[in-house]
Amino acid sequence: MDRECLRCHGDPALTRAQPGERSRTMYVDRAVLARSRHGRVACTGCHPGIARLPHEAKLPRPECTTCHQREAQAYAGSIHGRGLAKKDADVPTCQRCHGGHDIVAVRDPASRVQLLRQAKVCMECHADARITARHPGMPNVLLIRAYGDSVHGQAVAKKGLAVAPTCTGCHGTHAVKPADDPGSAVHRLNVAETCGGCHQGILTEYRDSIHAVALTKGSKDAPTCTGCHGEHTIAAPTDPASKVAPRNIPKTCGACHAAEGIVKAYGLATKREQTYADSFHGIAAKFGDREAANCASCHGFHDVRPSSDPRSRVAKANLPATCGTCHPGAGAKFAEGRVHIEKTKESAPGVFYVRSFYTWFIGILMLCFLGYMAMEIYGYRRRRR
Amino acid sequence: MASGETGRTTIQRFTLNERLQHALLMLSTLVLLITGFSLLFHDVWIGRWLLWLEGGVAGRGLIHRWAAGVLMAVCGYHVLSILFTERGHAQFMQMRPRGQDGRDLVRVMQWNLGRPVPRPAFDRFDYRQKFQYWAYGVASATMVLSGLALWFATEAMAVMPKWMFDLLALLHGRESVVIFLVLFLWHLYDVHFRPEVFPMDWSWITGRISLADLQERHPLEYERLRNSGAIDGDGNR
Repeated sequence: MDRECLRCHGDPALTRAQPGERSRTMYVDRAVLARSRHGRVACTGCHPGIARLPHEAKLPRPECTTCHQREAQAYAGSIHGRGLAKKDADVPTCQRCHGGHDIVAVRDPASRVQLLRQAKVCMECHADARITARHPGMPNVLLIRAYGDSVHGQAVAKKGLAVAPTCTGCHGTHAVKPADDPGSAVHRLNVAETCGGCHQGILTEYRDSIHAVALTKGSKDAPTCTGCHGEHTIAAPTDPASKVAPRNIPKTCGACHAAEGIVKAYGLATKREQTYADSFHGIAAKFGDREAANCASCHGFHDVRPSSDPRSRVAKANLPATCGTCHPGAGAKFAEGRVHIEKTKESAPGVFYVRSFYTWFIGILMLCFLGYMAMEIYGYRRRRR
Repeated sequence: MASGETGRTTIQRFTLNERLQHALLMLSTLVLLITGFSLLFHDVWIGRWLLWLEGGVAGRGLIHRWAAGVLMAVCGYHVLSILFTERGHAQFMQMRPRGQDGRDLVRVMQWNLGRPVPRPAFDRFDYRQKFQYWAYGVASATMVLSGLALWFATEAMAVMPKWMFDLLALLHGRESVVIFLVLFLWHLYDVHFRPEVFPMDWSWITGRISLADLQERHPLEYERLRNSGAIDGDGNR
């Protein structure tokens, strides 16, 4: 049969021109096919609808489903598959990503979707502004391209790490769905599991945190991994541009903890970012002290818990140990007194009264000095007259 | 007063040693105030600019602590000189506040405001100078003690609760404003802009005061020196 097919399709000059279409080559390179994963599959194994030769001018799409049923099923439910069902011409079919007669196994370095090269395939459409312009639901191309500079993208491109995630590592492959779809691997409720696929230890820590608890209770604001780390822009904490670089942490936490609406809705402690910024830690960090404590230094990060939780690093009983990380001398005695102190009587009465005392004292002192000077100069001028 | 001062129109008021103490205190206090205020005013442009000049919080801290070291050394030397040197002890004894100082202040106010009273006669240090000495001394002691706790934070945390630490940090910042006022509003007025001395009382550099000024400003001391024969009488005026 294959020999029969190649009698025509083995001719490099064979083309097809249908009305309204550019002429396309119908040539099949025997050598390429032989090297491919499907070298031993009969032509009709993929190309159905051939009952006699010469076959009809227009054949159905090549059929991958016959063998790849699971993949086909996943694809049908994906955003791509749903687009295809709506006859969207931009949507990728099997061949668009995997190639046609030249198809090789995904693990094969020559594969278009081999992990180190796979991002390029997605970018062919997702980083093409002409295609995104036609589909308002698609994310911005800049966001997609940002992946290339991310710690994941760099690990793949620069270090050749196949364990670092490419697009499919987080979004899934055939079943890819938009983030607002509850079935998506990158849906808010699934992100932690997705990241945890590689970052298993972190996932275990995170699962018990107040953020994860709130998230599972249905909070729409509680952060999952991407809430703090970003997604396509994700960078190592050592990168100064990272959202979780020590200098940027107060801003990242403050995005929620200094947002009035969120603070009110969840009954969070108020003025955390401001009181930190006014503290010695905050000032030192702001002006370049790399060792100065930020939010995460005391509260922890993946395992962050409220101070009312005895396992929390900022629970009263654990404060000596937490402060002691940097200040080895700080003992139980040091833990007396509040940490985020506000300029109010209730928050820190001692500080409030000393502050008030000095305000008055300094004011009165100034008046006394100025009054005395005025008196001496008055006396001097009066005597000179 | 030392002999050998007869026959001259000026007399030594401050020894070189005392003038050096003053100069070192002046320099270290200035540096401490500048580096301290850059932290106190970190959220306005002047503080940010100063912090940048000083090389961030780390550089600022280093300069501040060096200056504090100089200040503490001078203060320590000063206390030792009071305890163990004749000159230092004698100076200190004359610096002690007395009830007369309060009465002098009231009299000066009456005199300036036109009441028919004579100007009070001062001894070697008048009440203004004593106020300066003690205000600076008490404020410096406060600053040194609270500053040491902040400097050796880790050690301090072992013995004091956080709220006390917060109080000390606050105290350190506010007391610096008091020192600033005492020095810049009061002391600078006193030694530069007071009509009697304008544009400057030079004795902090020369160490000397004219007999005329001594007789006018410190008549009791003048009388005592004349009676002891340490200086000549009216011939020098």
